[in-house]
This record gives sequence, structure tokens and C-alpha cells, in this order.
Amino acid sequence: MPERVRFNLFITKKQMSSPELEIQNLTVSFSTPRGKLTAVNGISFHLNPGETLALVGESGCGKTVSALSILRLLPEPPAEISSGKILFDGQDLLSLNAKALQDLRGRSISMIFQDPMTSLNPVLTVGEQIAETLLRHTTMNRQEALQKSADLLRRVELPSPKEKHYPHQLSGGMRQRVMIAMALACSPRVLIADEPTTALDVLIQAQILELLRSLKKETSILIITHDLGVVAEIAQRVLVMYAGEIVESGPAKALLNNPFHPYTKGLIASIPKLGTKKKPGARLEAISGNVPSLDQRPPGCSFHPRCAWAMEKCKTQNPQLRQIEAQRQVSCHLEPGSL
Amino acid sequence: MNTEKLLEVQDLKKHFLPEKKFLEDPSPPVRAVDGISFTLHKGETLGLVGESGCGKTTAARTLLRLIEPTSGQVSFCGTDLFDLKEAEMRNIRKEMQIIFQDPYSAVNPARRIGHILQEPFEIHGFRNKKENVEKAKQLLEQVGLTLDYFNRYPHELSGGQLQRVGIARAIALNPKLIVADEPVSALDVSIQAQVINLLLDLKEKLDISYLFISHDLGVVEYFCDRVAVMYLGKIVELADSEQIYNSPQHPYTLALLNAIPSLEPGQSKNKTLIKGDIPDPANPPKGCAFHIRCPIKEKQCEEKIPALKEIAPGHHVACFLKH
Repeated sequence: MPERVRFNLFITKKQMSSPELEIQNLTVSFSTPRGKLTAVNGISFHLNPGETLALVGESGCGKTVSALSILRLLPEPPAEISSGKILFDGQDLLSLNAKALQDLRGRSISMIFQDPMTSLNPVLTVGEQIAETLLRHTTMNRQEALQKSADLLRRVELPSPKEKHYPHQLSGGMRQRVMIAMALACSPRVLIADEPTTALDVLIQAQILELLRSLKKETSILIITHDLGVVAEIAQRVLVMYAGEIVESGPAKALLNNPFHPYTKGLIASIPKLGTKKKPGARLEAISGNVPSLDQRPPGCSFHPRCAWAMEKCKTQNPQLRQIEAQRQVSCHLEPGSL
Repeated sequence: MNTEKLLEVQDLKKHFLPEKKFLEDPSPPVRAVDGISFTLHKGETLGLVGESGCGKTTAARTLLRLIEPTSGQVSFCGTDLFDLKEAEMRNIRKEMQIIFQDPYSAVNPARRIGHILQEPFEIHGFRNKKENVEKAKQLLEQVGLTLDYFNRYPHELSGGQLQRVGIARAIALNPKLIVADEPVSALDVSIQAQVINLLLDLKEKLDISYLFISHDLGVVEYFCDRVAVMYLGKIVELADSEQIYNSPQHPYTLALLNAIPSLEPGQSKNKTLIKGDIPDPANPPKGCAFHIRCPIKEKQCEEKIPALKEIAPGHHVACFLKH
């Protein structure tokens, strides 16, 4: 009996509507010669069944570190998950041993990485690599596993005989399709996609997003990206991260149309909109300054040195994430709607 | 718009020949740039867009003679660049500068920022050390960096700050033309906007013309007066950026525009996507290079190569169905 069905027999109705994955108060730090640096600072979020959730932010904001911590893929040390819980299936993933984690990775939760070339084994054909996952997690024999790999590749529109190709014989877009096929091999309940289209051209990005969209029925997706366009294309709900903290969350449409946090608003305004005629002398509404480095986080709200609305209070008090509307949270001292 | 021609490119080609192997048939050359022609007027910003591998960077480097062309003509302010000797070329480079995509690999990591900014003056024979230091400091201020950065090393700067240094170095000798090769692609969104604004400021203050290379049609449409769309070594469409956006004619341009994720959620559900990848430039398909991915191709597209023709004033398209 497949894992999922067996699991479902024992849960009550209430649990069925509970989140697929829940992260509580996660803090991740790194020991460096400059001392202990906190990359992720007490974030909490959940992923609902069948949902596509986007984690957005600029480089260094902690989005990838958060994603890698879920599957405990960070090298520990130097990384250290200093507090928090990662709840999946009623278990805290942080309390599992190495063997139990290996059973979980690729079977219940799988991951797609940004650069498909460095994530694939260059000396195995792509069919063999996908079969490896199946041989590790199922009772299939080699023949069946290879057959299933070919089926999976057809599912991501790489028909036979592509399974007999080596990664270097495939283009970037095709390699990313292989990664997706591999991630799907054991029908995982959660798929974590870390910048899956960043290394790809815009036409290929559109194809991959289309493919990810078609997976929504099969799995819950946590997509990590810096691109708000990608968010609008694929996500139902968004978390915006800045300097290791979640600064705003909400349904994609509402958040993009009416951002509450000055940082979210600034990110949206920084993108040139297609078809808006540029007046002579007009400029983009850029956010001034730079993202603070990990050892130079300002006191108070970490965004205040770059914020056009910053008040005295923002320099000393770090705002807490608070509920604004039914599904929307923001961490900002400003009254929502005053932007 | 000024109609004085600053840069005129005619049928520029760059083919890379593969290494000869013993007892093997030589493989065909990679036709990275395969006959492109365009004109850049004084004070104008021309965008060159396309996917990776379409030849846009090779085109830029060839026309600055950072790599030698296979054939073609490039005239800059009336001087034919490919006729010049090396020393003459070095002299004319004062007038034409380049900004690179990755600022970290474009500067010497062992030199302080102040030194990096004095180098253009030293190379071009300005010997007065004190004046050079002064000019380097002015450059820093011009690109919005404080004098604190003068004695720092590149690794102490963020990507956006270092790209400003790259821009400062490019404007050091008051060039007429700056080739900006993906100057914002490596930067975060909030920093991208700052750098684009800086480039716009400098253009107005210093009367610079840009050849702006990017894969991001959104940025190009915002930044440029005219846009040339490249596919597999050729220009397939060339027009004002408004025309490109409002009435794209080539099916490839249309596909690029459609593929840009829109910020309006749920808008893109009904777009037709182009299938497949960009073909190998060593083995381009027969006929129009785009026909294997083209949704509207006809029989003739598989046999003949369409020329870039003017179909409306200033709007050039290389597609049989639009001629």
C-alpha cells in the first residue's frame, strides 16, 4: 500500500485539513571567523495541502537557508539550527536521525535546485539517476525502475530515448525537467523548488513554470525565488523575507496589488513595467541603500535605513509580524494602508 | 532625435572555428554572429535582446574589437574600426567603453578602488598622479559612492556598489559610446533599479550613447529608445521600443514578450508558449532559423532565409509572413 494511503487511514478529519508542513520559530545561524551570524531569525510559516507557496526575497535574505534547513541539507557545523520545529506528519524533522531523514528525502519531501548542471551526476545517464531514487525508496527492481524513469521523463515532456542521454547532452531547460522528474519519482507530498528557473532563459522559464503549474494537483509546492513575476505566475500565497525575517505574507494577488510593507512596495516598484511609456527624465522608484550584511544588521527594524517611511520608533523597536486581514500579516509599525 | 550617426555596423560576422582534430572531418564553424547591420545615432540608446547563445555578447565584443571579426564593417564617427592598427585602436577606445555583467570578475581583486579608477588615465597617458587621484575621486562621487570607498578592495563592496565602480571606470575618459553588456543581470531587483537610474542620469549629464545588451525585455523596453531582437546570430526585428511592445511583428519577439511573467496574477493562463530550445549555432536549421519553433511558419520558411526588411517607417522585420 502506498505510504500516503496508509497514512490517511489513521488520521482524523481535523488533521486532514491541517498544514502539510509547518515551520515554527526557526532560527539558523552559522559559526564564522567573524562570530556567530544569524541567517534566519525565528521565522514561522506553514504549507497547506495542494498549495503553492512562494518565499521571496533578495540574495542573502535567508530564503535558501530556510529551505535547506527543512530537509536538514545544511552542513552542521558551520550551520546550526539553534531553535525551532519543523513539523511534518506529526513529527519534528529536527529530532530525526540521519537514517530517518534519508528515508524521507526524495520520498515524502523532494527538492529541485537552481543549477541543474551541478545537481546531476555527469557520468550517469539521466534515466539511471532517476532510477537510483526509485531503487532507494521503493521495492522496484532495476528493470522496473528504469521503465518508471522513462515514464517520468515522458511526464515532463522528455520522450524516449532521452533517458539514455547524459546530462551534458541536454540543454539547461531539459536538465531542469530531469530534476523535476527525479523529484517527482516517489510522488512526494511536498516539493521544494529553490530558484528553479533563475538559470534559464525567459522562454524556457515559461515552459518550466507551466510544468510546475501542472503539478499542483499532485503535490504541495514551496517555491523559492527572487522574481515577483514568477510569484504572480505560479503562487497562491507569498512570504516576503528581508534580512532573515518574514516581513509580509498573504495571498499572491492581494499582496502584489496592495502591499502593506514598504519593502514589498519597493520591490514591486523597482521592476520596469512593460508598456508604460517612459517620460523624459523619469526614473524607476528604486529602494535606496543596500541589503545589510549578516554581521551589520541595524537595530530596530532591519529595513529602517532604507525605508522612506521610517519613524523614530523603527530605529529601536523591531516590529512583530501581526495579523492585518484574514490571511495577511505584516511586520511594520506603520498603519496598514498608509503607504 | 539627433540623426548624426555614431556607430554604423554593416554585415558583421563572427564565426568561431573549432580546433582541427587529427584524421577527423573538421566540424562546422559556430556562427555566433551571422551578418548583423544596425546604426546607433548620437545620444541614442539601442537595446540588443535575445536568449543566451544568440550572439549578443559576441556582437558587442566584436564591434569593439575585443575579439577580431570574421567579416563586416564597423564605422565609429566615420572611422572604419577594422582598418585601424592596434595603437590607433587603443587611442579610439577612449571614446568607446564597456561595462561588464559580473562586476567582480571585471576588476582586479588585488587593487584598491581608487587605483582601479586611476588606471584609465594612466593607460591613456595622463601622467600627473595628483590630478589622476583627484579625477578618480570625482568619478566616485559621480556614480553615487562616498570617498570612503577610495581605499577599499573590491571584495569589500556589494555587487551593486562594485557595478557603480565599473560604470565610473567606463565614463572616466568621457566616452561617446558605452556598450553595457548585461549591466544589471547579476544584481538584485532593488539594486537593479538604482543602477538603471544611474545610467539614465549619466546619459543626460554626459551625452553618452548606449548599446545596451540584455536578455530582459522589460528592462530594455524601459531603458532603450530602439530595440534589436537577435536570434541565432541574426537580427530578426529592429524598431522603436514602443513599436516593439505595442505591435511586435516577428513571432519570436511576440514569444519573448508573452513569456515575461506578468505581475498581475492569473493573467498568463491563455498564452501560447513556444516549445523547444534555441538550435545549435554550428548546425543552424535550413531556411529561417526560427522556423522549427515558429507557430505560424509556412513552406517557404523551411527553404529560404528571410532578409531584414523595413515594413513601416523605422520598423524592420525578418519574416516572410510580414513582408
